[in-house]
Amino acid sequence: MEKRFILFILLSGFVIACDQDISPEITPTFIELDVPEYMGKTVPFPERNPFSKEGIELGRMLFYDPILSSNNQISCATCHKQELAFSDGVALSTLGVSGNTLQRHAPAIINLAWNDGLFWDGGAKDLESLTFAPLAHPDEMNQDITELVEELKQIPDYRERFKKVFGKDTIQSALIVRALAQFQRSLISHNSKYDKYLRNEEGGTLNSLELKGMELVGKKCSNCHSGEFFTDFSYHNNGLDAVFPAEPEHVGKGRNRVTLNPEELGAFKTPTLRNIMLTAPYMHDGRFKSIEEVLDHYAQNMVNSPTLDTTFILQNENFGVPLSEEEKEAIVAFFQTLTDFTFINNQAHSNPFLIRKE
Amino acid sequence: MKSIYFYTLIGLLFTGFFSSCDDDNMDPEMPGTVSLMLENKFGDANVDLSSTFTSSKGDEITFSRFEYIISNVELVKEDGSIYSIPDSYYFMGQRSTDDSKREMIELKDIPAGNYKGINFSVGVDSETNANTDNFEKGDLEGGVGMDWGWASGYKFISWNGSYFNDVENKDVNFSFHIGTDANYKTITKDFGKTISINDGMTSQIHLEVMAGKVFEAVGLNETGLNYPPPADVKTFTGVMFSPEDKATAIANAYAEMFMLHHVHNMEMN
Repeated sequence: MEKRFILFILLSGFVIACDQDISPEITPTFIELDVPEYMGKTVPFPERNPFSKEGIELGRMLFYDPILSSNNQISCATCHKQELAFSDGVALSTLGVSGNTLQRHAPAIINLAWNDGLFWDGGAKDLESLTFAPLAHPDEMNQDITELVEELKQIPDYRERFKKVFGKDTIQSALIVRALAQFQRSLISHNSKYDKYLRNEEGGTLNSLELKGMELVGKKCSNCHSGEFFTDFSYHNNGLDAVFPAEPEHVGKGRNRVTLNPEELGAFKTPTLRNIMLTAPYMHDGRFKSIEEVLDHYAQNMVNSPTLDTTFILQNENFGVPLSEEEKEAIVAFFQTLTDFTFINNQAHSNPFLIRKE
Repeated sequence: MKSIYFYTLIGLLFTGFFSSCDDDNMDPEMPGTVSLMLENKFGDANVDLSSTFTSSKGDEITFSRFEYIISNVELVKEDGSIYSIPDSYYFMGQRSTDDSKREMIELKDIPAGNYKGINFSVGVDSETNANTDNFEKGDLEGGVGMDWGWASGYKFISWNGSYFNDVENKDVNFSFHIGTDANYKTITKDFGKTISINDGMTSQIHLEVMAGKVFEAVGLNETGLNYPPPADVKTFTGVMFSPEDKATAIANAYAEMFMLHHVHNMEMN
């Protein structure tokens, strides 16, 4: 017994003296997030930031905590509301710390784990790297990252949670964005009526109008809104504008702002059609208030430019996506089946601070 | 019996402390430390955040931030073999007037031997530049002004300040923020002799970082520098990714701005 004791003390001495690492028994519960086979069975993640139960939960707390903003009044959820499939319902938000109007429309957070480019122009390469941008931007959360780290360190609950998730007795900016990324990656929508239809489940019967709409979307929209994610994760000029001014900050140039490729002038990321009826207004600047305006745009209001995506080019120098009123109606009926009520009511995605108070 | 155990234990404990981390016995066979001094200069003067420097093109420049990334440091042994310092990523220079100058890197645990040169890079390698939450790698930290949020990647140099604009006849701000894989530059310096690095030596590699070379390559009063054009172009002249020719010219110049001042080593007593 005593010898073991001595050995133990000796080893502790070593650990205390030279090794700041936390003992190995503090590890989070690593998990895989399952999705239907047609979405690839599991949710992808970067090797450096695997999902854990505690990591997602910590990210969820941070997502809803206004401590992340410089005035402690704005959280990620201010502009990414669950009831709107994590979009904000306005064209260009003014809810940031400065009150200035943002230059682009807040995108919905749905199935982003599969995206390799984020923002409307794909400038952010993953959710971890992206997160520094809204945190620091003066017109969004305006947060000094170093100050945020210090603020979080003052809260024992956060200290414990970071330690449990990342195995380090400290909080760092990279760990904040990793936890937030885990939560955002966990925001998966795959329980719409359409999904039930795909899986032959109860409640998955589409009526004839919805089926007609599904067929039309497959025929007329799927060059970009392809596959079961309803996006090709790529960038296209969809005929919104004829010119792409440099002001302000090149945002109107779309993908070209990032790649400097002249062929990508005015090309913006294809958003998913999942939950599309919840995520109005539409386009990178929120210019279309309703889905009807969007369909009218494709049917008759597109404008030409040298970089207009070839998918829209018709015969005789015409362009657009011809749609009759009946076809538009059918498409909207199908869009309704893409609304995922499980997703927008899932308690695991909700504000943890509100639930606790109940 | 118990007390003997106890004292043995204390003794062993102390041995443990010393042998594991605080070795006072110098041994020329054991790994050593070499300090890498990167002394930031503008002409003959040291770079600080208050002085005004005049470039060879006549620009009068005052820095408000003079920061850059040094990475992937390698030491070249006498026989030409290379020792790579793991996770060697450093934020160098000075971030703000609240920050102290960072001009010295302690390169630790270098295998004992004779070394004839050093290689290092300005910026970060493409693998590391793919995301900005790389806390595992040296000094790298996101969100502190050394990375971009709108387009993920590190700023290899982040030099901000003001200069006298001849047309406006007043001081105008500038930013040289250069990144992307194309502008990652590796610098190779031959010492012209060898230095011993081991546990019994104190060694230093002293380089001068000649910031003026960058402003010799790209004059601030030249046209075509604005990207992105800010709300008020007249008060800002910047280079980020683009115009590409300017970014390339700046990167080519910073690749040439490191001058070997001297190397030395001394036996420790």
